[in-house]
Amino acid sequence: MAKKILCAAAVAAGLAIGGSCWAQGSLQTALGASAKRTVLKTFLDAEGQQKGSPIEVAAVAFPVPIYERSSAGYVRTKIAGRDVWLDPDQLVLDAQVDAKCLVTKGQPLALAGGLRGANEACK
Amino acid sequence: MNRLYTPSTHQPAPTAGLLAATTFVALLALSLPSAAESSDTPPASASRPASTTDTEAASPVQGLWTKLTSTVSNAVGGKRDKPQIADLRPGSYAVSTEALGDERDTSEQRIKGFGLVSMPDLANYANGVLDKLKAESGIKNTPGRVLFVVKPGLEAASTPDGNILVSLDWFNNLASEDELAALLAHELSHILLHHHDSNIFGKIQKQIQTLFSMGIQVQSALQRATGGVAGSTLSPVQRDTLFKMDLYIRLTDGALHPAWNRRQELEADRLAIDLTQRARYSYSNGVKSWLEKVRQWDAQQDVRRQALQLESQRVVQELVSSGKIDQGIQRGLGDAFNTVVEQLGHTHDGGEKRVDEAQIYVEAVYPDLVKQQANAATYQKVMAAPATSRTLKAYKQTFEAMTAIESLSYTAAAKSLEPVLARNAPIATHAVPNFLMYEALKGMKRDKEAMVYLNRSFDAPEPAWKPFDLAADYYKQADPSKISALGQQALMRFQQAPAVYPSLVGLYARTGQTEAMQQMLSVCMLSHVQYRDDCKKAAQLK
Repeated sequence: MAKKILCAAAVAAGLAIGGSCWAQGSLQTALGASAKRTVLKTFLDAEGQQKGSPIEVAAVAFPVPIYERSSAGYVRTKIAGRDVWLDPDQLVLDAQVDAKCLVTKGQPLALAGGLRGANEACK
Repeated sequence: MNRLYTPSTHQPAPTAGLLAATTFVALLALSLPSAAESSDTPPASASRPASTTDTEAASPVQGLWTKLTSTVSNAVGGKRDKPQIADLRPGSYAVSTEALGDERDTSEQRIKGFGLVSMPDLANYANGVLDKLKAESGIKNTPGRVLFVVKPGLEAASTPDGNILVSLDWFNNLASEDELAALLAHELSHILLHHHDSNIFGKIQKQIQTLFSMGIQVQSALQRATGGVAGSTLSPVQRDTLFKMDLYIRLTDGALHPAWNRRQELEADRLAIDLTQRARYSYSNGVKSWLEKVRQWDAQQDVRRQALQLESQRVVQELVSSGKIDQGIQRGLGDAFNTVVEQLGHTHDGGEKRVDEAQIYVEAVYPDLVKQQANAATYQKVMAAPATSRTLKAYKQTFEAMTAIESLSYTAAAKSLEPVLARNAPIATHAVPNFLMYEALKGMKRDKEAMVYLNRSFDAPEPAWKPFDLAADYYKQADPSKISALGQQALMRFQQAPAVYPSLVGLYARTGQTEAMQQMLSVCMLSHVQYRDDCKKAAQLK
């Protein structure tokens, strides 16, 4: 139980913690629903052809593991004990990033000279 | 070290016209805009009178705070159901008012941080993707190319000249051409939407304040010389005006401009979606998955910042409990101010909000979005090419050496750098590993061997600033008379790009070249106001 809480807290804090917290064989983790939606559309097949019953976002205990990604781009997860296929655009997925701010010297690119950046830089 | 010399050239000190400008500047100063601007205009536009009412004077912090928070929330967000690309006017690209010219812009980027790195194969590929996106914009002759920045961490930026700067670590973290296209499309969008042009507002504020201050001083000096009554110092009213101007600039720099920038980021994300959709890149495995990486990176930075804040709180508590109450309070107040400015000063919304905003936009503008497969194969092939992969790997090792030097582990740093600098190694001639080896060997008291690497860092095909700093430190001990020529060489080598001024002010300040430092500081304060604060800070270096 303690490990589960620790893992959930780490994910909430955005830490890359590897796969050990999640069910074995999961590819990625869905951290929540995107675009403030309250309902997730589900599909019964990997191609997104057959619609399933919609699921209330409030009923999903995020974060949830993603087990599979189909060639059509849909993702398989398990919600309330049953397998469902979802359009991943409905979800905010975690991402692995292998980079860190190693040094403190030097200005962030976008802070110097009024440049426009793509994200917050090392400060 | 003789190779460092070039004939001296002098930067003219700007002095003319200051007095004549004083009256005009004073009038302009009185019409400085209010902190609260509408969400549709840049916050620094000079369209409203200054906030100098009695209420604000009685409670300036609360007044400004209320205005700031409402401005920040107004400036960011907003729904949209037509494509952002509809805001672009087809035709030829209009050059930014802030552009330096391509060569000078490249020099500008070489000075910052640890410079640029040339990777021809990766550049060809990345510029090919960029050209594809440019073609989809409907704007002709958009300038700029992709430049690779020697810097750890995930950073990318665009310049008013249209160049796109990407840190090397991004290339180790992208999974496909679609994600690369997303990053480049975001930066290209800033260029196409002319976001850099709004820099002019902050620059004008600083220019006004500098001219106002200098004008008053010139006026006082003239009155003294002609037997007038003016004192040598500023009057209380003049000081108060300068104080208000300075406060205003700090607030707009620290809070309002970043809020305005966040609005620009939202527009750039939206236009990036339009451009990548037109170029038939995947959204799910392009813009969305790239933004999810940004979200992850931002979250890591937040954790780092929180750790720093906790450490700071611990120090304050320690100071208070050890009886050094005043210091504790002072430090605590300083941290509180920094935290407020830090929170307001984020130029980008958190990655999670950006993922959400992008999705809301896609659902509104592209309701029938077709899922595309990402092109991972081509990207992986380019990245696996020997010249590119060996260069990226060598820089990863170089960043490790940099960290070792920061923690004074010189032997470990030298060991990491040996394979990087071996004959035929891909970056053996590059500036960064060579000056790091110089620093490592100096740290190990092997000065004679170290000089070889400092000279090599000067001869690097891509110049960097750091060798100039290191050479100045060397001359400070060996022969201070050569520092001035070194500074002139730096000006020439970096084509007098604006970023050279804070670096040069710092170089002269640290090496005790007061006269040269003052001259550079004057040029910086008047001609390169975007670096005014950096130059002032650099002038304090010891």
